[in-house]
Amino acid sequence: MDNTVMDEAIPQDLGDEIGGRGRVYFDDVVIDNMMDALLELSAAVWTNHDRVLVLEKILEEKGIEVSQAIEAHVPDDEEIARRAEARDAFVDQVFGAFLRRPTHHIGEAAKDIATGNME
Amino acid sequence: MDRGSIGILPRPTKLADESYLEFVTSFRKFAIQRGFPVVAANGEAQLERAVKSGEVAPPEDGKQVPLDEVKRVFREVPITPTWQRFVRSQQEMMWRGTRKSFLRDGDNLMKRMDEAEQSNPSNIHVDPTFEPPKYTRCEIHCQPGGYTDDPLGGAVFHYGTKIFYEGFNDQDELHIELAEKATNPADGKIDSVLDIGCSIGQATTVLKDLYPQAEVWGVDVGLPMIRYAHMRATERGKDVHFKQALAEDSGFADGQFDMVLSYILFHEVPVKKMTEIIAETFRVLRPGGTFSIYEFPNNNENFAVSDAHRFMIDNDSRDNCEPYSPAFVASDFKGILEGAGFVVEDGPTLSNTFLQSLVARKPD
Repeated sequence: MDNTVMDEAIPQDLGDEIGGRGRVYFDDVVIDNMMDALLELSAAVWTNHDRVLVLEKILEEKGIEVSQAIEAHVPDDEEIARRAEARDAFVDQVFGAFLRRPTHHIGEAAKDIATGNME
Repeated sequence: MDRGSIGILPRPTKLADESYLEFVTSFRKFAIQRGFPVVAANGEAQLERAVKSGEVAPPEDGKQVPLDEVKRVFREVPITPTWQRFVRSQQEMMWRGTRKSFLRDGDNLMKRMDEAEQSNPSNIHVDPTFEPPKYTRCEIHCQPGGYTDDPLGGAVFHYGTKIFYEGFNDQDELHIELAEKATNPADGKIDSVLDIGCSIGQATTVLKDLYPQAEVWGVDVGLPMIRYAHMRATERGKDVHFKQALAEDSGFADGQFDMVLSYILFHEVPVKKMTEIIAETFRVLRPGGTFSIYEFPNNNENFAVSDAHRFMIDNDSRDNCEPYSPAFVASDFKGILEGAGFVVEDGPTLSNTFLQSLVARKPD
């Protein structure tokens, strides 16, 4: 090899195309947002369904019947908090598109209000 | 946790990532395979109606309706913006999900690439003073960091293109076809083969399998691509050279290669650079050598691109970060090849019939 080629840090966030306010295809940006939300929601539904399928298969292979135990399960406080945190992240994932592209005309004004820049 | 691989394809680092990305693959299939024909049929019907009603002037003989008119009329049909939203969103989801997953394994990936360079230093060629020019540093296909600016770009490209190919290239099946169908020189002498714009070396390594006696090189502008290609080849025991360089300034000797292959390279560069790459390829091929080209269709005498495909290619250019493809489509690609000195003919038909296949021979 002719040199030591790459020793820079791996950037955590990268990409102008997948970041920022993104593209808008409809006159009403909310339609774009709703379609993005629908896609993320569908992906999340499938991801969870896929995991349940894998889980049930593994348990079945181990001779464990879980259906009734799941229905009877009562979470403790720690589990409740952990699941709430995960649920909040899920909501952000599904509905984040609505915040990414706020409605055109009041978008900048709303940003100013949010950041305290009222001059 | 190491989740292993899918044959020769890396597996996402979590089941949730893999499930998410498999959803994106299924959705992409739906949007592209089932959605685009609906967009095309409805858009072209609307265009035909607009021409008949006089809203759009009928094209002169041998000409097409201006692209701006095609775009305007296509967008009158509600399926068009819906489809544009679907295609863009799935592309963003693909890259976000892929990078997020492989970033988790980033340190290990970097270590594997370093180890490959230490164990097999003679097969990777990088000039430390080389800086990719600005025209190469765009986020082609919306890939974060493009081909040049993400150290993990090779791995991200590999799994991202698994989704792009909708599962048809998991084991490099498409690249195997490209390499197998590359045209040999008439005299059968194949001692040296070059893959220009080789990205992660999928066709390059197959060329080595097909021509084990030959010295096989892949050249690409993206260092992350080259490093990943080299790691992948080294780990699989493939004796292939990878070089970071511009295809228009490759640094190889005159007449060094018997065969050259390029796959969907030319629509990713400006026409001026394309012309330079073609001249450079002519230079590095020996007399009697062959240049196998698999590429986007374009408006030369070989192809009549439909209005729907013109709309799609324009949309792809704007929304999928393909800034140079419209100029390529409008160019006289075959004429430029011939102008460089090549004798050009149709190449073997590919399974992917969207692409054109050409063989450019350097005269003896």
